[in-house]
Amino acid sequence: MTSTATLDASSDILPAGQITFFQAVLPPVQAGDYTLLAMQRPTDAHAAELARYEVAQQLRVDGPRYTLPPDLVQLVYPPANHQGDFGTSFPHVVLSSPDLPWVRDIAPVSPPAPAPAHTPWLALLTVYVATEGDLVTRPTRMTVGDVLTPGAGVVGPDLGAATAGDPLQTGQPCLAVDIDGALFAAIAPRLDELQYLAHARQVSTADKETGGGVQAGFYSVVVGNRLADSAAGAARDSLVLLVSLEGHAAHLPDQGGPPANTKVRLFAMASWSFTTGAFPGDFIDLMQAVGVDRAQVPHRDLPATTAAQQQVRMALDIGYVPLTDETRSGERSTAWYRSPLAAYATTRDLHGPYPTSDSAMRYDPGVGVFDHSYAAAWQVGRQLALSDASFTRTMIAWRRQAYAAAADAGSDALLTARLPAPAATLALDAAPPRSRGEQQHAHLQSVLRAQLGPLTRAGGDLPTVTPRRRRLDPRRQPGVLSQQSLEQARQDGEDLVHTIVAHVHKDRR
Amino acid sequence: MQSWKPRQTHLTGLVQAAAAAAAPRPAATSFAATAATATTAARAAPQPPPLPTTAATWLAQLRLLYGVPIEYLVPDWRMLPAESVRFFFLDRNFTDRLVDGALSIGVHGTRDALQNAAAAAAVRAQVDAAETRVRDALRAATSTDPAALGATAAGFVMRSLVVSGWPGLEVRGSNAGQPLPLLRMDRLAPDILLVLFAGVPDAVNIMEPPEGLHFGVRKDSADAPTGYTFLRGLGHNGQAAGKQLPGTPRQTVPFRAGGRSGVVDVRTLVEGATSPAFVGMRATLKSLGALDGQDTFTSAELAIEMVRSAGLQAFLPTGAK
Repeated sequence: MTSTATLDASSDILPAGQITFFQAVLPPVQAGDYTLLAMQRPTDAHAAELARYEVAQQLRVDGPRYTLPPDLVQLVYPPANHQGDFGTSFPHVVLSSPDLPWVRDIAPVSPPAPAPAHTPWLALLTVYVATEGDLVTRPTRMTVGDVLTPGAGVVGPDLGAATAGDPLQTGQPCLAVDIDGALFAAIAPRLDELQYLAHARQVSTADKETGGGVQAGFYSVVVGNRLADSAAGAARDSLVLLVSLEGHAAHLPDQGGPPANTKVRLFAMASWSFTTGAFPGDFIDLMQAVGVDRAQVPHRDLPATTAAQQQVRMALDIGYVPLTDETRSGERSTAWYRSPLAAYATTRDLHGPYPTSDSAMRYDPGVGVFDHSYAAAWQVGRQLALSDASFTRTMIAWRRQAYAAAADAGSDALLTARLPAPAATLALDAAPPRSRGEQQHAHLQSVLRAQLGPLTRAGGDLPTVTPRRRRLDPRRQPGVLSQQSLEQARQDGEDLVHTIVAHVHKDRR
Repeated sequence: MQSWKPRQTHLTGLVQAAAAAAAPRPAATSFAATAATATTAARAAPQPPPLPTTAATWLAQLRLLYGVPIEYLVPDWRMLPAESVRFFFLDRNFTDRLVDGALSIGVHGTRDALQNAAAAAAVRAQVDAAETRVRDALRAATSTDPAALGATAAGFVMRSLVVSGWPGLEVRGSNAGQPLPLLRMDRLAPDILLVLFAGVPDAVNIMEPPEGLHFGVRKDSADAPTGYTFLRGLGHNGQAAGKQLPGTPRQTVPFRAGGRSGVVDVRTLVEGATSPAFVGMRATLKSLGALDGQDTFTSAELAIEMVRSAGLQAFLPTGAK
């Protein structure tokens, strides 16, 4: 059953926004031990009955049972260790897993009476510390075995012989409490009440912080059945225990309760305490007490008579903080700093990037004081960037890409400026050019064809160029190098001029 | 031998682009003017490739002060004492300098510096756009209202027990009745909350998280033997869910007898009792026509009846001294 409530802020009935309440969120499979059976039965019309193939696999659906991971507890109310006027409130715990209260069966072995559908296995017990504090032990570190077989005078949960005899489970550490049987019978919910004491809520997360695990927006809530302890004129502590009732169904008040003169040992999944009294401690009380101001250092009682005092006063007014400035020359002075959380609106300065932090320093020559806010910002930005290797790589790659694009465009421009436009026939070439290099190559080719083609066809005498390597043929300069070193240099692919120069310098030495 | 001229051409182009980027562009008067400017710019230097999205997002997060040490945000703790809220305008110059510093990495010479200058305006525009998507990306959600790009951002930082005691509290800012999108909302420390709006709010509401709404009863006097609650509609038969039913019907909340006070008799509260006669919530709501056809009454319905109204604290920053 789902009830969606549109909550309205205009009346003081419920807040703005929308909450969906769910009776229960049932897990696809309840936690417990299961056997998975697979069977294949081949048939053959012409043959006798064939062998069957069967395989069984034991599997356990696990989940929190003896302890809760701390991150599952999203919120407790009243807040732990807070003081406030909680006398008409029921404690509750918000769990970040929407189906947690229903993942286990409250009576895993032999139910005394069938529990109503959607009965949770978790419950809150509220203990009044002033009058009942000595009837309940504080959560104590034990092993699961200590809880399941607690010894004489104490009853533990009945989780079945298989669990109690499983050393893997009984060796686990946990927290547990012992509570007086009569007190338990008086304050624990009845088996047929538990179904009303847990529900799930879904809320919009659009107005919440991004971190802190509050973005899921789907929670389960376990509500206590007892008001916080309160007494006129005195502060009273209440201790709230989130306990597992799995295996304790027979000890609940409507199922006979615990045996006389015994204690009940319970797994304490979470616990917290708070103080009730005539304190302002509720959300609104605390919010009312919050001091509102601009982001400034308190300064309103400073004198402001001289010009210098007025200057300081104004700087403090707009959010500046005076800090000690150790200059590079070793001098100590005072400089201003203002955080990005400015007390007044600023105008955005759209002038280009500041290439160094020094260029972002500001100096007031009238009073001789530096403002280092933006220089500090520049340095923080640089250090954060340097500390992130992947960002650094991205930026360098981006800049290289820009240079490559600029170089391409530059060579295009150069070609266009130096050469006449390519002949129109270029456009008719079969395949369009694939790369910029090919395109430039084609351009050059077309120009050469246009310019030199007629000349070669006419059989003219074209000017020729002799490469330097051939011009410097040592056969025409005998005696500088021996034939052997000449061959060596040629094999090594050295520029012969370099070889000669090296040779000459070697002789000089 | 390679000529130095292409390099010079490239640098000249960069210088021109840098100069064009540095001068704030006048608003284009006509399409023709825009087109002309665009052509000149294209001839002077090629448009630099856009910043990769990951880098733009990184810079946008930097601009929203992710990773900036808290000492730089609150340089003096007297600015943010315990139990205080401080409203501020985000200093865009400070955040732009953060970006300048981040862009300065790997600048080895004139060419790199000029490239930074040439790309500055495009980078700024890109990061302005990325800024509005940072929160959506972190929440894996899409907001329906795109924020104004590069607008004045304002917000508040709050240090209070409320922040640590009520995780998931909700913040809504509005300007002239229009809700403002959140650019950032994060806890900097367990009890310090930083909120940035895309715009300057003239009203801010801070609300108790609805998932944390608690059950409570009303009492006529502190030592009254029973409590009561006003009944709300459940969304059936035209009665709005969550709204108080007409005639403000009261439901008495009975407590268990016995020596231990304060334990609610949930069973009697829901189902009623015959001796002594007590009309339970199910019967009361049925007589008021609040239940559905099957008379469904579960923990969800009980929750709607029993939750107490949430706290909502409104701030009007313009009125703050």
